[in-house]
This record gives sequence, structure tokens and C-alpha cells, in this order.
Amino acid sequence: MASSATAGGFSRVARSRAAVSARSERVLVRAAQGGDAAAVEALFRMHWPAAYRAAWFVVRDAQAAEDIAQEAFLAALAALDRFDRRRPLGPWLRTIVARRSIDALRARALRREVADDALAMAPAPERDDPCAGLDALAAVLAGLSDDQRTVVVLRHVLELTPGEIAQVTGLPRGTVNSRLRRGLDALEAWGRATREEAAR
Amino acid sequence: MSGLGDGLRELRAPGEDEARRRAWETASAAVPPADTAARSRRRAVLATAAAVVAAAGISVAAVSPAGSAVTDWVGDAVRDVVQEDPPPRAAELGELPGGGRVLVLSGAPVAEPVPVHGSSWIAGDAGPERLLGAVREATWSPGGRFVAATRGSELIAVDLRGRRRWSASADGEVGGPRWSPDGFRVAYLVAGGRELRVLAGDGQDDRRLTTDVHPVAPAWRPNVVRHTLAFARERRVVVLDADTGAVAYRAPAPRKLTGLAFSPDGQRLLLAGRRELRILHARSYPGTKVRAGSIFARYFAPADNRYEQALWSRGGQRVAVVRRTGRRSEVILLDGRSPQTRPRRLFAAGELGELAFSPDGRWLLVDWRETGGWLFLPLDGGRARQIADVDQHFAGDGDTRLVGWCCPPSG
Repeated sequence: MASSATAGGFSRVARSRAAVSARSERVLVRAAQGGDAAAVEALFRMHWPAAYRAAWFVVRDAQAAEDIAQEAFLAALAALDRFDRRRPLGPWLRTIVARRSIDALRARALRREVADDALAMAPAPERDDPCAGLDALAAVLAGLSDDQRTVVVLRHVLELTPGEIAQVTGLPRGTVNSRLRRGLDALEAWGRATREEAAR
Repeated sequence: MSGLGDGLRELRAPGEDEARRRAWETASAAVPPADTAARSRRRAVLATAAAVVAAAGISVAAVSPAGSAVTDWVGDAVRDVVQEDPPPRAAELGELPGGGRVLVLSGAPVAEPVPVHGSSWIAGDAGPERLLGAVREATWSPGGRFVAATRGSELIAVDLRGRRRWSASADGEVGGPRWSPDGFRVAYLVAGGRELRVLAGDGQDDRRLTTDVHPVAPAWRPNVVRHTLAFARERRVVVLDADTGAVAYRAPAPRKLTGLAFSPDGQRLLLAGRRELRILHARSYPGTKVRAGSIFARYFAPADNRYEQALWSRGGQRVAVVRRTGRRSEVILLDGRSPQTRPRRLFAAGELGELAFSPDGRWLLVDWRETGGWLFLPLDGGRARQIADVDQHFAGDGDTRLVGWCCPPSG
């Protein structure tokens, strides 16, 4: 069974939050539980950006992403007074973001089917392309299929383990790994093509 | 390959900075107070706490889920923003401040066979263009590529050259047409609210959604997955899924309701009454007591005053209001996200009509009926602009009424 090391030489994921030790997060949580607004702000800065980015790249809708990230963080605040400081806050919050992003994505997929069947002749929806203005890598990521994009985002933006992704998505671990491999292969292929183009 | 991993972790999503600011405003309000009693409580207070700002007799009240202190808004000491001098600079219909196109109805009302207002026009960089005659109401499509208008029992959609794209007929006079933000649905009323109907953006699949609604145009909620629609019944607002009919929530509405409007971000719902403006939370916040349909803020007009217009700004940060006392009217800006903020008075004059924000959100267009002109008020400082004698631009039909100001069409 594939481990967290993926095909193409993508080495073990380095957790971006290694710099923020579990101990410092516990300190912040304890302070926040005591009503320290500065500690709450520090936790917000620590966790909200990844939550919003992950939600956005999964559902590709700014408002839905904002709702998801906000609800996750507010749920964390609401649960602060009973939160067990021996457990890290980040993974718990990220799991909430992952579940809600997937739910939103599935709901949107269902709606598109209904809309397409019923409105084949409708005027084109007059909404801006959600991918407009993204930088190149973000645009390629946003262009992956829902299946591949979701697992890539959960793995490399939310930094969930493949086992956690399997649990959140309800997919077999092998399916998670294969979708992750295909998604990263596509991104790496884009990266190679970009470097080759730049070298000419 | 660690570079790809780093790149993915460092990706920024669109709108992140603004979203972070909004999220922190909400989250910071939910920080539990730093005392033992508060720590033992499990609930979190969200949104703005109850506050009363009393200054020179002015009070603006915000309502929180934990309790409320609602007072009358006197409004006599709001800060003036627009100075009367220097006078507004002249503007042209073909070069609107803030760009885009305005949609107007022009022409004296005709009583027979059914009341119609006149013709619908658009005015933008190409100057005024007549779209469709003998209509009563009109509304922009979300991207400004089409206009839906009512003519008796008919709902008609035309493009910007006035070419009919589709039409639907009802068993009664049609009114209150509103296009959903994604362009896939149009809602409208029949016979003054006997029916609320919805059809697809191409005019197909016309069906009745419900009956016996208050004769106020419905409002679609932006930025949500489902087609969520708000409409009024007597003293209540109902929000439902327009495709399934599932009701999301109901909430009490102010007396003499005149308008419904979701904020552009879909987070709040404005209920405009003659004597009260009420803003509701349009969503619930899990883990808190804030529920969709709960009150976010209430503004009461002083005695002998009434609200005549209320409109969200483009970004949803503000609500522009026309408030009238006898023969005098004021244009006032409320802070749509922070009710404790004192309102700003932008302009005061005699009779004022409709309002419209420019597509870029930097200008507020005021129909200055007293003079027959349009006034463009800059929201970020600068000099106001004015178009005099607007009627003469629309074939001199008279009684020009501003409907909306939209973006330039794409493509």
C-alpha cells in the first residue's frame, strides 16, 4: 500500500506548521480559553488562511469558501471552553474544513446536473470565471478534476494524512492515494513543461 | 519535488485578504469575555453585541442574539458629508461617472387597458437607447446583457438592442420580476401577489412557487449553491429553495413592507418598511445562537418620517436610504456591517426618487425629482456631478424613473 510518499519522487510532506510547535499552540489555546483576544487572533492567523484556501480550491467559490472557513473557526471558538488542550487544535479544525468543503462540492455537483438538464437553452450564466486572476499553479490546480483536486488540496494545503483523507471522504485508502498520485502527476507535468518552456 | 509541495502550501486564494478581514470581524466578536463566569458558559455571542450609541440625541441600535436594546433613531445630528459648495459638475448620459449603463422607465403612466409606465431605456456610453415600449416594470439581468420587463400579463426578456428573447404570459398582471444572480431563474408576481412564479432564465419551465404573497418584489440570495429566494407574506418574510420549495426559515417583517434585498455577499437580508429598516442574518453560525432569520440590526424612522428607498452598496458594506419628512428628503448611508457606526447624511433636498450605486461602487446616483435631474454623489470624496433635465434625453416622454445601474455587458 502506498505511503504518504507519492509517485514522481515527491518526498514526504513537510508540515508547514512544524515551525509552530504543538506546545505553542497549547499555550495559545489556554490563553484563548481565558478570554485572551490576542491569543484568539494568533490562532486565527495560524489556521484561518489554510482553511479558506483549502475550501476555495475544493469548491472554487469564494462565498462558499468564506462560509466554510468561518464556520470552522467559529465552531472552534465555541468549543474552546471544553477543548482538551492535550490534543492539537489544528487537525481538528482542518477536519471540519475538509468535511464541509466536500459536502459543498457534492451539493454543487448535484445542482449543475439539474441546471444543465433543465436549462439547456438558457442564456449563459453571467458570472465571472472563478479561476480568473489566479497565478499559474493555482489555475492548474483549480483545473484538475474534482476528485483529484480535492485530495491534493486536503493533502498539501490542509496537510491531512492519506488516512485522514480516507476517513473524511469515505474513500478507500488506495483510492485516495491513486487520485493523489494522478493529481500530482498532472501538476508535475505542468511544472516540467513550464521549466522547459522557460529554458528555451 | 518539494518545490511543488511548497508551492501548493503557499498558494493564495482569490479574495483572501478581504475574506480574512470579514472573518476576523466576526470571529473577534465571538471571543468569550475574560472572566470566570463567562468561561463557564458554553454559548458564544456572535455578530455585534447590543449597543446604544447616544450622541447629541442620536441612537442607533444593534440587536444581538443575546439580547437587544432598540431605540429610535432621531437622525438630527448625523454628519453631513457632501458640502453644498462647490456646485456639482455637469455630467453626460453617455459618460456616466463610474461607467456602466442605467436602465430607466420613461413616459407618463397610461391607464388603459392596464396601467403601463411607458418605455424602458438604457443609457450608457452609446447614449440613450429605447428598448421596449408600453412596459410597467423592468429589471436588469445579473450581468447586464438582458432586461426583463412587464407589460400587462406578459413578462418579456429583451437584449440590449430591444430584441425579444422570450416571453411568458400569466393569468393576471405581472409584476416584481427579479433575475437570480446566476441568471438561471427569474421570479415574478402575478395579480399583485396572488401567485409567486419562477421560470428558467430562458423563459422555460414556468411554474407556480406559492400563492398569497405580499406585493413586494422577491429577492434572490447571492453567493449560495441553491436558488434561495425571499418573499413576503403578511408581516412575515419567508426564505426558501426555489427549486425544491423547501422553506429555510421564516421571520417577522416590519409593517408596511416595501422592499426585500439580500446583501451582495448573501450574509444579510434587508427588510425595508416605511417606518423601520430591519436587517436579518441570512445564515446560521454553528456553535452560536445566531440563526438565519434572527435580527442583526433595526433602524426606526423618527415620528413623521418615512423611508422611501433602501439599497445595499455594491460590496454590502453600506445601505443607502432615502428618508422623507414632509417635503424634505435626505440621503443617508448606514453601515451595513456595523450598526453602531453613526449614519452619514450625504444629501438633503426636496423630493428625491430612486437610488443606484455605480458598478464600481464609488458613486451613488440620486434621482433628484425636485429638479428633474440626476445627482451623482462621490462616496470617496470629490465633487458631485449632475445631469440636468433628464426627461429630455428620453424622447421627452416625461416622468423618467431610474430602475437600475449595471455593469457594461461582457462580450
